[in-house]
Amino acid sequence: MISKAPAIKLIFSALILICAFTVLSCETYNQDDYEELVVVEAYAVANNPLPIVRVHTTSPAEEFFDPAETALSDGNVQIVLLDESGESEEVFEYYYISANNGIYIATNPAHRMLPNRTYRLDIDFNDRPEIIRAYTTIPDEFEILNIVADSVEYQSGEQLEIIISKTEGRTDRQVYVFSIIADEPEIENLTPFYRASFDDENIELDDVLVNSSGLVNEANFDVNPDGTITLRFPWIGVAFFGQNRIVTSLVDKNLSDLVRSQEVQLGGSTLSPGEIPNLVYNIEGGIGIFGSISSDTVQTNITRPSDL
Amino acid sequence: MKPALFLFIIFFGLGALFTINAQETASINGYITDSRTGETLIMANVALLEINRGTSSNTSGYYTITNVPPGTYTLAASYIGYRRYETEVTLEPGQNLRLNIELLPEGAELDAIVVTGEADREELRDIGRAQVSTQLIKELPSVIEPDVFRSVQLLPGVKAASDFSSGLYVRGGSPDQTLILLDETTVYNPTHFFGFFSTFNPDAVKDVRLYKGGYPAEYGGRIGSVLTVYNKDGNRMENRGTVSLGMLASRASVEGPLGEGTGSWMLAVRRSTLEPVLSVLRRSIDGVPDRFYFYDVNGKLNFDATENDRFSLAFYAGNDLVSIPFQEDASIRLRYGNQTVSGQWRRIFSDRVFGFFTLTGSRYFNRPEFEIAGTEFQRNNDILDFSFKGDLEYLPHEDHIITAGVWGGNITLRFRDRFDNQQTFNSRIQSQYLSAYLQNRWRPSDRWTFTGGVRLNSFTEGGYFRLDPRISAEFRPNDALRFQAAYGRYHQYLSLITNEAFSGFDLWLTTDEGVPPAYGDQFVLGAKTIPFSGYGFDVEIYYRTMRDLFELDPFVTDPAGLDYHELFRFGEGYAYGVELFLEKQTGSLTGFVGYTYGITRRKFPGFNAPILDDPTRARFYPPKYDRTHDVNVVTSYRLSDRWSANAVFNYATGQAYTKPLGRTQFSNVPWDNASRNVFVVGNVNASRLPSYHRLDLSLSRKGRFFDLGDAEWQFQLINVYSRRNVWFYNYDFDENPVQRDDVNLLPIIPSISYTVNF
Repeated sequence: MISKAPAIKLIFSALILICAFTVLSCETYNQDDYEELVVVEAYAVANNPLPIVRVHTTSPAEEFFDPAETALSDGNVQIVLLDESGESEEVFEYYYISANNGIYIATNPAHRMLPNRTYRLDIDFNDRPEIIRAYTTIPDEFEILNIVADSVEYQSGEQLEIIISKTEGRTDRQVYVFSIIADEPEIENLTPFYRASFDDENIELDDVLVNSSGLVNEANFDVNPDGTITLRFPWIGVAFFGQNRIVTSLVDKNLSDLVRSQEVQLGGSTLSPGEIPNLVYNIEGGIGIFGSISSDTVQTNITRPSDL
Repeated sequence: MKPALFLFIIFFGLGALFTINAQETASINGYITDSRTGETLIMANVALLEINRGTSSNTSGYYTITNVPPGTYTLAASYIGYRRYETEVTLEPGQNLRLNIELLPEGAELDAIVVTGEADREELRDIGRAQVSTQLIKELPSVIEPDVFRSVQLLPGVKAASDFSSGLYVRGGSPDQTLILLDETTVYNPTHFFGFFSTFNPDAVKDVRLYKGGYPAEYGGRIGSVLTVYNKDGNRMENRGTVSLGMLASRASVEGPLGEGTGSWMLAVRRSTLEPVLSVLRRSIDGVPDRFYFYDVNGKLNFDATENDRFSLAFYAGNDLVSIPFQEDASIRLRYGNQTVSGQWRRIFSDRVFGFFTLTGSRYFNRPEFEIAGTEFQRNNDILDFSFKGDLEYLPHEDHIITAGVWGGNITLRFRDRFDNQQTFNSRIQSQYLSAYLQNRWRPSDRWTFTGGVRLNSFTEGGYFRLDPRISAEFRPNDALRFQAAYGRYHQYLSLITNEAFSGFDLWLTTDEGVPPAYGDQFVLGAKTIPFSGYGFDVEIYYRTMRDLFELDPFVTDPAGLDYHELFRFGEGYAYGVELFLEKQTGSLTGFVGYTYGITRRKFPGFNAPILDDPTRARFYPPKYDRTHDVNVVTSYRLSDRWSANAVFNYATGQAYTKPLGRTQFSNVPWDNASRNVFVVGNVNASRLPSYHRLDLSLSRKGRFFDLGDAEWQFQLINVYSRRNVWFYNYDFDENPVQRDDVNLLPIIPSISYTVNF
């Protein structure tokens, strides 16, 4: 055995070692301070007019949030159509609508957003240093090729089937969103799952007026030899019996990145609880989205089975 | 580290190893067992006192001392919890004496209340190594069931993610960086109750050993640590049994001799007994599972074919199932489990060569299924791992122990997703793996011991070959003090995708083309001391790197159509720290205090980049389980021959979390009904939750059960002062300003159990 004095010396030495180790290894990893950022929001739709552009700022997380307080009205906004070499082909100026919070509208109402073409969003300010720049390539237009049944029985063996035309510039993983918009959004028309959610006060009627699939990439479906895609609309998307419009949207990378990363921020991934990442913003000088979609719509009647 | 140094350590003196001594020598060997049960004892010390020649038993309980000059000696053997054994042996020239040693458990023949200590109760503790006694596992206060992993989490350097997770976070590593072996067989998801506690039944377990870092060449496949669990062989003397009734789970085990002292058998079962509670709850609460159970079965059969040949067959099967209907037209069902089987042949080839050969099989599966409004989602994840292991110990010379071995096998991982009756993802990887190691433990003098080794790993999927050097050294200036150092390189070919809140969805993925194995270096320095009689005091400092870490990219929310390597993000990390361990081993008050100062950091491209900076940049950040300070106090006090009390106190720095700095809204996403609320954050995990602390108490009373056997009542109080420790914060955007709600860990929980040993 070690005698008592050396043993105490040893323990003291260990404690001194710990203290020295603690001090020497002290890593600075501190919490940042809040910094106000410019937020941009614009969604272009193929063959539709130039999108509105919303420009505002972030707010401190712990303070009362008033969107009107965050609007930026002193921006110089323009959208530029680019040619194949990336040079400006046509410039579209925007103006601010003071009656609307942070919303800018194009001066040219006639232009239609061209599929497969790239647009650039430029914003600067008279009273702020930020210069915002973002790009989007409008997804190719497509159409639903098959004749959709006028009427489909809910949860029957015959699922609603849609065949989507081949699109140009396709990557392996085109991303779609399928939305179903009820024409008769009455409480008594809710399908059983959504009715139970409504009765349990987990949802309100407004929450499911437009019911969306979330992002679904085409690899989830059958790609036919001719490049068309056949998909079966899942019953989980049907919130209301009756007439429904089914909107299929092809989504660009910017919008896809924003939405999927927001789902991760909400906790729907493998990150530990409390580990919160920022969203993926494909934008320079600020945060936000300059995204685009193309879409097509069909209509059908979802009928109630006899046992419901 | 220069390869020449390893070669020097491994092969130094090999020329001398094969020389024949001029004087014909003798040897002594055998098994060390518990005298009451016949169980082999792992790492028991044995020595010939007059010539100061000693060794310790291996994982089979076998020891051998070779090259002993003829003569008469005192042979001494010791093991923690057992009385010291001494006998006189006389060795003739050329004699190979087989001496099986039976150690008597402390207290077995003593009526004394106070456990008396042995003067030299010293366990062989190599650097980075720790042991948890099964007795301690059973005595410590625990939620639901006594738990191996919960007990291991009390050791310095080991952290728990939360009260709800039994996952082992060892020296800054995630749970998948610890290789978990049950009777030499890899266990892939060692949890029940979706992570709440581990699968190992304390009634079946004989030995639990953790190699926290710098582990030797005989192990491989993980870049962090190794936990070995050996089940009991079974009582070789008499039939015995145990029944334990708990509030939420109960267990029973039986064991006994096989034939005329030629073997033994053991069977232990455990099952949840939650159904009556759930049945009552279902009457008044929605969302209570309509089915929920877990069970596990452990068994072992041992047969001594000859004096030199022993065979054993061990198996484990565990299963968890929960089925929850929620709302109209919706349900969740989850089933997951493990099965392992291993057959082992242990042979004493000669006084110098001992070998054991093992065939193992391991299966892990999980099957989550959701059905909502007529739309089904199913996932199948399966692992099938069959392997062969062979290990040889060779003692060519009294200063050298050479060990060598191979471990080869075939692993198949299958991962399939189905959505709405269509397959959306299908991956099946089958790979052959082979590793071989060579290690030399060289003791050139009583003061110095060197262990050097190399391990060669290959993994056919992706065609990877890697060489891992390992080295450690120990200097003993006196009997009560040891200085130790170790270095090792480690490779890992598997990655676990898990959720710390719920292990039922655990998913293992492997390296492949474009997905190289993770690797890391570990450096460890330590001092092991016996400052006073009956006390131990250890210090260890570690630093480790983690490179090519591969884990499922959290931003891949829809894997359909992706190439395999696109599922991953690749990063790096490091960890360092200091561990102190003060143990009191004797007297009526026993226990230990463990303290860890630890730092761990990770970095992945595109994650934790400054928001306006290049998004491909990255900064190091602490994972959630990083705790700077961690203190555990574990005490056991024998009040009388019937009553004993145990207490466990834990204090730890609050876990890391990300504090939201700003917020905004996206109001016009084309298919949305409502605005999307978004946080803006700075450094990820730069804030800390409130400190964690908790006190658990238990009180045990021993007695008799109608003269049929010994019985024990155990009364427990978990979280005595009901500290509302915070697990994480939840943010409610429905409130303005955003409301932060605490999601708490366990409140105060009383429990009671009754155990009968017959």
